Amino acid sequence: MNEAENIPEEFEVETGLKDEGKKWDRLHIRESDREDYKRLLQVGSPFEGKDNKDPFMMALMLGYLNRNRVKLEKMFGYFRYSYLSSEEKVILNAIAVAEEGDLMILSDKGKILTIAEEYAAGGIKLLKNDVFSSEYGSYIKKLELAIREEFEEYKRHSGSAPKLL
Amino acid sequence: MLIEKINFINFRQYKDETIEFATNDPEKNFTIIQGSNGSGKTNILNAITWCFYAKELHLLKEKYKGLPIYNLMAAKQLKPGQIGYVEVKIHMRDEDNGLMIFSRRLKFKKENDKIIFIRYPESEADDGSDFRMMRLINKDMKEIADPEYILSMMIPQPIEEYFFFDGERLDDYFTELSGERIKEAVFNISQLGLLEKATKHLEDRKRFFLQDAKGLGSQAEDLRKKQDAYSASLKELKEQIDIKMDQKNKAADYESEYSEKLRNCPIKNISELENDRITATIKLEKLKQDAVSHEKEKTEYLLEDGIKIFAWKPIKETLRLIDGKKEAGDIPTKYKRYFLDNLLKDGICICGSDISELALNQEHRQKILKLQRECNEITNLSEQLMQLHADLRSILREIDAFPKKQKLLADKTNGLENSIRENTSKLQRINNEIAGTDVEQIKEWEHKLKEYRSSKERYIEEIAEDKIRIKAINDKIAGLGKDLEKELKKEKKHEELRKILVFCDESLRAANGIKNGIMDMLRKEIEEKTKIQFFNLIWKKETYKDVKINENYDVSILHESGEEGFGTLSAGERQVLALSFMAALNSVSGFNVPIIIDTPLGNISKEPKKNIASNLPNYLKGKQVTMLVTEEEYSLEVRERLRERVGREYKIKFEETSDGSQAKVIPYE
Repeated sequence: MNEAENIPEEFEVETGLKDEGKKWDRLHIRESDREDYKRLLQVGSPFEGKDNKDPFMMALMLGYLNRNRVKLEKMFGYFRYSYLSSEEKVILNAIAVAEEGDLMILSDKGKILTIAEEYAAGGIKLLKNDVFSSEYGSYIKKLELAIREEFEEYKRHSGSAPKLL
Repeated sequence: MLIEKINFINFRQYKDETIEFATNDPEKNFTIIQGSNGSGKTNILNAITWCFYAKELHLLKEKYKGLPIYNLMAAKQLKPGQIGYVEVKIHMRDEDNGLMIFSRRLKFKKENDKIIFIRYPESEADDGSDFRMMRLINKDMKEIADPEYILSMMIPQPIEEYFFFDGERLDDYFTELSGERIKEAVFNISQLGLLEKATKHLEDRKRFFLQDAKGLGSQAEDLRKKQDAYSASLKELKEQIDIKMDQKNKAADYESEYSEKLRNCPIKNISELENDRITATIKLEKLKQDAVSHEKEKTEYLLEDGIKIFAWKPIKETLRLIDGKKEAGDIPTKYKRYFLDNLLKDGICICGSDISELALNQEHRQKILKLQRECNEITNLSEQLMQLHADLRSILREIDAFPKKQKLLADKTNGLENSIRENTSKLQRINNEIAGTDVEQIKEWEHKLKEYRSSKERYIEEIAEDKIRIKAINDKIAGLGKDLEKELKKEKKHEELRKILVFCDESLRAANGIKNGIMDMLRKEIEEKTKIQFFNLIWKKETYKDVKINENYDVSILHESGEEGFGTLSAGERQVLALSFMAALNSVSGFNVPIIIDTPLGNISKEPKKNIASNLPNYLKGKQVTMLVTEEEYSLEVRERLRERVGREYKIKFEETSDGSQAKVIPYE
């Protein structure tokens, strides 16, 4: 599914500040990040042929891990919330809960999505640099290494987690 | 449809010959024509395609380079000024047993010891030959107008190669660019030419409407110009691809010819080495494809599961908070806070008692108020939290499985890398052995083969690069189109034009959707029919369990264990797969055309040859099949196994005299 197919025309661009008039059936990106997302889905990127939500989720994780949360000003409805898998929705919930330290945030979908959008805005440049600053294929190697490191940390915090073989 | 008889006059080796085909008994509709290499078997196929399309589509390019189509002996016997003819006449029977005769005739004249072709004035063919079709109507043979059109409805040229084919070239389907040949075959069989034309027409019209538009704003004008420029480079690129594709096909044909020479070479070692090389090349190609798919699978896994691993901290934190609520007894809950809030707000309990502030008996109200105080707001989310808890635990289990999955992926990567390494060195060894021969002729063939192969590979690479560029340009054009549409939307006067462009785009999308849908449907049908034929023909029925043609048109064979087994197929098994694929194309095509196979068992060694022959009677039941075979292929054992379906059997007797050579088709015994 490409960008054009994801969002019906009449919803394409939403300008203005934050919540007013914002539709919570979709996830937004900054207008200024559109080109980066577009490039990430094109030939030569590991996200080639994937859906809009895929680079968004990776950008969100990078933003979150680097604690880089950026407010969206001029924004663009990038894909529908319903396109996320149930696991991805769970991850969005978990990030919002951990961010607020309060389970009650789960009753505020708007806030959950805003947190996700802001972390994705904080991570998109990092993702773009990771993907395009090195030759094709090496991003996946870097990603694999980062995942292994993260898993090691997870293992240290959870005594019972299996060892990397 | 059946081929009843073919007459050859002065066509290459055939000076004046007639072959009658098995037509009477549907159970015995195999015709066998046996001839040694070079005796003129393939020229029977060429005679058919020349008669139908004025092209010898199965011509061995190297062997016949510069050789004329007319029989040299006949030309020599011609007196100066005398006229001679090349003629092929094909007698066919339609479904109602109606007789049709297709004939093509080429006129030539001897002048000063030279042969000059004389064009028929009304000829539409490049070689100036005359094509006619006669049909038996009410006991009279009548000439049919526009025979080219009638023929194109009966046997369209783009799909002739799925009815008249060379068994020794079937490996080409699996050695070339992954899936490309298969995709091309499915496209041709789909008969989507008309839809392609419609698509092209829509694209042209869209461009025309845009170019014709007057008074566009500067922004829109700029976008239109950019779109034009990209469209021009796209057109150029597509033309280049066509040229390169043609060059690639030519190089591939030459390569196959030299490979065939090596395989048929009397030095046994060389012929075996060439057979081994083909098998090793296919295996290596398949392994490389597997490595690419595996890399894709790995990337997919890392992108999807990486996100889960990166999210372990918030996942654990959320679980900790939910566990806290569970320990505090807030969840699961008997009552939800908003339920109690609503009861108190309405002032009526579910049992109907008055619990308002003004109630006479306040005891009931006090109990509800106590429950409300004990009921935290979080109880409203009780079910959601319980579900979230289960979902988070499930993600953690997936994270725990990471090392196992990682190991599986790494093992597969290592396995593939090792196999690729082993096969590459095996191939290198074979190359060295063939190149190291001291027979000059073999050296020359090997040199030529390599030359054409590297040229083919270069074109394949260039075509792949061009295709990537085409995709990028198409993306650009689509993006510019969208921007242009937005620009046009701004000005009311261009509303009409905008609507036309949107209509064109939607029609194009629909046409492409239909095209892909049909191709996909046919691919699945071909997959199913290939599988049925394969299990009909293969002797190791327990070894394999499935035949697949995936979305990229890559063919795979699954072993009983579920492992991919294409790379391990022997030459004989591969031939069975290829024959099955051809039969599937044939049946899906919907054209009832007889089948003619040149050297169906060409490269197969003795034992598998007997096995294939045993099952061949089941092949294409009900179809008229003609096999052009060598003496080696049509051994006594093979003949015995095919006997039940053979209706006619011939031998080609090749004679060389001082006047030239000629082939005669005589009864087998």
